Amino acid sequence: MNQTLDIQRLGWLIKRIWVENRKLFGMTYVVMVLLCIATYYLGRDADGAIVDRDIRFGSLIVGMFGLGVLFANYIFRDFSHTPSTMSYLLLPASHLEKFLSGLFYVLIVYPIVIISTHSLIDYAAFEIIKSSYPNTPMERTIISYSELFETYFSVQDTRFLNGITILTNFWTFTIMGTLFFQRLSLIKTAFLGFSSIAIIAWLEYLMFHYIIGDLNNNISFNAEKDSFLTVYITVGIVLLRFVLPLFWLLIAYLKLKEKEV
Amino acid sequence: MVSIHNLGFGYSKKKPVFEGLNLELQTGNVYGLLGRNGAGKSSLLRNIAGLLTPTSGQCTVKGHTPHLRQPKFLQELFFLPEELHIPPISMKEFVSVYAVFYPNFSQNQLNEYLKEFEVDSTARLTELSLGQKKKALISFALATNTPLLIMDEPTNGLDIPSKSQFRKIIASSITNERVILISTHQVRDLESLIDPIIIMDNREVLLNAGADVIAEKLSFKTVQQVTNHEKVLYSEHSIRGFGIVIPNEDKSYTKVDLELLFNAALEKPQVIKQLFN
Repeated sequence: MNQTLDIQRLGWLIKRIWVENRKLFGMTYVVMVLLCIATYYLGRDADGAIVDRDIRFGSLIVGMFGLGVLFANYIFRDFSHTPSTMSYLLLPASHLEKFLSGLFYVLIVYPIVIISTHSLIDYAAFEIIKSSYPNTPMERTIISYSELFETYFSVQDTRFLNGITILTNFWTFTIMGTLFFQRLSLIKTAFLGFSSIAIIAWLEYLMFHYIIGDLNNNISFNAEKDSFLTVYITVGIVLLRFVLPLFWLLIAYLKLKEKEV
Repeated sequence: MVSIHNLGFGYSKKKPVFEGLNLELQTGNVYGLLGRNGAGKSSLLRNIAGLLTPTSGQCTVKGHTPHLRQPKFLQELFFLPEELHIPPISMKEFVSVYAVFYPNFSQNQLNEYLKEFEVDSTARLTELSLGQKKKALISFALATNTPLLIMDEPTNGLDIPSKSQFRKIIASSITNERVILISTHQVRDLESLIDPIIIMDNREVLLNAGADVIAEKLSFKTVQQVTNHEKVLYSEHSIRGFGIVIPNEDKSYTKVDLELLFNAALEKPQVIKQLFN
């Protein structure tokens, strides 16, 4: 018997989450769909024609962002209560399997459900509006998926990619916080997160102000300035898009392994 | 089955819960773990279950190190805590989700226990009364057939008929391959069931002995007047006179009174330790 990762046990754990939560998942899903439809309905212009691109885009990002954080916290909520923590830790499965079963819902099921549902609502809205108002300038999609995949691994600064980057960091950070804090984990995690952002921003300000100074004055050649900024932004984006989410997950997993009650 | 050597544990370095604790649990027994509040009973149970990590010493269960919480070890153990985690599903769904993790789980046994306890297996677990919830989970715990079954205050919340059913079911479910460890304050509820008895106090195990050994070394009597004070380990006033515990010097075997034994152990810990170690 594999003591670290057994696909059958992982399947049982995934089933456990589904059976125990399916009613709540269903109700939340219906509420989410209704909210999205309401956003589109209220987001039409005065003639009832175009739905603003920012509203379409925002309903996806804000919906995923806000509810995704709540969902990530909910999936690992077993740690908010001593009896449920004990029951969870003593389930005959490895720590990795327990962790992956939660991640399966947060990082795989949730995005698929949200993106597909949003796409369906967006498609329906487009078809309805186009049939009623053929000359409306509404675009078929809010973002081209091919464009998304082409740009995700580059350092291009697009709004959508920044949204995804923030999302993944918030989700993974929330998972870590849920495992660290037993009571009021979401509030404590949010406090920790915003405090960390404030400290990092302050350190960045200090670095630029006291060490590097004014870029325009201290770096004489434009080529040098551009090269410095490119490296700085590339490192920042790689850190935020790839390193930090994995780091939060690693910390969360180690905390799960060491969890005591 | 369970082997504990020089086990030390504390929530902080300055305040150890227990130190140098030694204990052996053999299969085929229903152990009763007694101790006053804060004696470290729950901490000991959680160390055995792998929910806490010892600060020193060693604890093994069938050769496994509990705090690593490997699936192979967790399959061999079922821990029923005092406060239960009850998911909002029916018993049938609960079984479909949790039973698969326990290779020796028996659906027939579960049905028998649920029937004996008169638990409605179709209702949602969260809709049952506290006693019913407890009986449902006790039934499940027993049906997993894990070699080690740990129960923390299992009779809390059970009514009088249920306590009697509990004793009957536990007595029928113990096998030569199994250890049942019950921590309780309700010694009267389980007097006829638990044997051997483990008494913990002041960071150590004062006594770990079977009822026959205890009866061989101590006498439990009710007398009208307490005489021979220097020999009496413990006495307490009751309606019928005085219940006393004295060393069994004349080898007359009496029934072990757990409450008197427990109080005697707390009153004269050193004497009890010397007698049984």
